[in-house]
Amino acid sequence: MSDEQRKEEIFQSVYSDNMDLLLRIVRRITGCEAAAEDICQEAMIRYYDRIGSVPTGIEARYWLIRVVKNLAYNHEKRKERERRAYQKYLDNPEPREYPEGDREVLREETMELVQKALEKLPYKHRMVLVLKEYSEMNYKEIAKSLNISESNVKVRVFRARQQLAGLLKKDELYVS
Amino acid sequence: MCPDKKILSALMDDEISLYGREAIEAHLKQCPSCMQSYTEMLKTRETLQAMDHPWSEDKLQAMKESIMTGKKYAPMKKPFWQRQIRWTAAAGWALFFGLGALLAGRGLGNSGNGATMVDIHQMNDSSHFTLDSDKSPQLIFSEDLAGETVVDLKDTAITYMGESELVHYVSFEGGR
Repeated sequence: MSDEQRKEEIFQSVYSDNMDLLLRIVRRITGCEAAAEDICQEAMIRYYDRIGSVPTGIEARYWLIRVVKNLAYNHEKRKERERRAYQKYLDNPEPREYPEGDREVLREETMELVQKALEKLPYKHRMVLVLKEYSEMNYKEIAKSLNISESNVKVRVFRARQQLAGLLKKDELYVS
Repeated sequence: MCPDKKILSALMDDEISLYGREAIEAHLKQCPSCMQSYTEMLKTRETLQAMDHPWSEDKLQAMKESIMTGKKYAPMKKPFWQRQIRWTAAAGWALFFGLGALLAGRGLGNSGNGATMVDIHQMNDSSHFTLDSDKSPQLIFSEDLAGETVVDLKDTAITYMGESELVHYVSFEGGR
């Protein structure tokens, strides 16, 4: 097998094991599917460019999570700057009225509001909570991928849940 | 006595020992306040997980192809025969420079190895150069650079001075 073929085989394996998970995580972190695709593609391109000097297997997942964490954080900061710059020009939307029985639309609207509540959490709490809820990684694995201690993961997950529960409860936004 | 709420969060995540789990679960049965906190945290999990759905297979495949295809579309080294054409063009210039050198007969001094550094004055048309030396240049190779065709020889320096002026220093074997 040539080097190029081996490289492609490694990439295919890492991509199929991790891309869907990364996309789902970043979608929840950023609240935007398009941003999630951009960020995760960028992470995968960086991985592809470095095959040979980056880990494979489960370690590749931790590596990729660190990359998307930083890219998503930069995206967050950019959004915040844009929001501040255009704040005075943003319209306050009128509350929508739905025909009776339009439950699916209401559910979607609620999910948008839940996403907004999630985005109110501090970035580092949000990141840990989303990883916990979507990735099936335990505290030790999350700690390894984010380069923080296990006790830090435990505290951040708890604080994120507590804050989010408070926001959801306030607006009765539970979705199931 | 009620446990720290972080313990309830860790219980949700299966991050406490079996003994600890049994003790906490026994407490929850007797403490409405802790049970309420635990239930709220469970609801946030359900809400976040209800919002999750996998990325479409088509999109995943398309993104993978674009990442891998992008690598294949990277600029490749030009084939030898194209570089040969430049050699031919460069040889043509060398003859022109040689004629210019015969006409001008001026040098800028010697380089350390006995070769003569001469100044090429650019005329309006970048394909015409006047060589201020009566020596013929020994061309090594020529290369395109940003749309401007330049001569790159052994021991040469290429300097862009302003927008319209291009100065080449050409080294000649043998010198004066």
